[in-house]
Amino acid sequence: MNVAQDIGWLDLSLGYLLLIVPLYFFYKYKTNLTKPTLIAVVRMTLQLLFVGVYLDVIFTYNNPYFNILWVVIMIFIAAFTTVKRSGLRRKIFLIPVLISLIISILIVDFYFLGFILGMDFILEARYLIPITGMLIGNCLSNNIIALNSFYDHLSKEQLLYQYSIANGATQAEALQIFFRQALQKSLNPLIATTAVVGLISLPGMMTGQILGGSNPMVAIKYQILIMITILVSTMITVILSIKISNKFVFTSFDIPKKEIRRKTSKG
Amino acid sequence: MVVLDKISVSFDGVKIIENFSMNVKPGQKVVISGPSGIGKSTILNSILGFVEIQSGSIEIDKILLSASTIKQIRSKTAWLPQDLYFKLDSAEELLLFPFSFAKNKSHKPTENEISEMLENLQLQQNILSKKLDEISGGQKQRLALASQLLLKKTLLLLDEPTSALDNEAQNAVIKMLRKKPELTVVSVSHNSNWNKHMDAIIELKIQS
Repeated sequence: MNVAQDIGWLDLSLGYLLLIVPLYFFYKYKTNLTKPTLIAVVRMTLQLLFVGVYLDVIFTYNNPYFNILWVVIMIFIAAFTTVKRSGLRRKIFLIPVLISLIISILIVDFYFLGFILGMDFILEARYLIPITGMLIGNCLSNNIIALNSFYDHLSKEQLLYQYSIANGATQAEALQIFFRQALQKSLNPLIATTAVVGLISLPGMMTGQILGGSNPMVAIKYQILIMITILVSTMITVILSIKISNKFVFTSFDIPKKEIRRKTSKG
Repeated sequence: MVVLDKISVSFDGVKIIENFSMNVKPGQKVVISGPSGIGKSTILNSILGFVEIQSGSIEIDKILLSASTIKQIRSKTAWLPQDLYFKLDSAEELLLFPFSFAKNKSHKPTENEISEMLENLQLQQNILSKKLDEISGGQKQRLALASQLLLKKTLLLLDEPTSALDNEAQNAVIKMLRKKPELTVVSVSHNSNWNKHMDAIIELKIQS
């Protein structure tokens, strides 16, 4: 099969014309979404162009150190973004989230690339970078939901937590209910997406592979493994992020510290 | 059983409790009384380690309260908070919630024990099949208290245990506690009916 047809720069710019439709309606209904949309599109374009150039270099040289560096950068950005978007204190949460992501990605990448695909060189750029990127992206969004849910419920239902530890529960037992809620909230959408994939959505990776000239069945096999590894890596990241951060958010009397959330500036 | 020696508690630099002392003997039932907002609940919360004291000491059953002993102390207590706005589903879940913890599993009450307890606290036997939002505040309060009593701990800490109870229900609760001479009770209340049935009233006064 042939590789995907290239898109000329002029043709690409024609694609931006489609944005007139949402921008018109945003303006018409006074949604205040015009500016954020324009900023988002400009950011998306610059980021992807930068990544395009970087990936071009990475794929050309296929140097293990460059590849690892790229993965490390992705993990750092994901950890920063997770903590920032969950409104939690960077000082307390950055290290736990970072450790969780590293462990989760290491385990799943090794299993997928080394064990299932049986690659001799698992740092091969064209496998390592896109697959790790997809895992990290999903871990990021679901971890934000999980951390938010866990610490939000713990704060709002602190009485239930206190009631539990005052009446015989260990800390782990008292936190179980919040843990369950966080897992349900963060993983339910992912499970729902997994259930309908192929029916109402064609995943980006699969589409990309097919466009890139792969046999559809090969693309589908990759997609199946990707869906499973996303579920597993997200699960590991969420559990570890909560468990590790728990070590830093309680006083020596097992009571949640007050300064868990970042102070919001007063408007 | 419960010895508080000159404890002081502050929140954000404001002193809530200053040099407060009390000595509750085993089996004694006492009430801490005083106007709202004076810090009665704070005393119970400091016994449970929910708030840290700035000075003084707390001893429960001759164990000095500290970060290293708090788990041991909490294993001796049962606590009924003033509010019971828990996200639990059914009345039965509220009653049996503490027995889902490993430490309490061996004390899980039999059907007969539950039935007897409900009767003593003037609760209908079919209450357990009801949803938590279908029962009244007073029923919920007695149900949680039933749970605390079935835990068979040595120290019961009650925060405004009669806030949702009528006189008849209050008397049933008092009678039930009186049946347990080995149980030490530290309660917080400004209900005169409750207070007059306690062994001692510890009055907290606004300091001038």
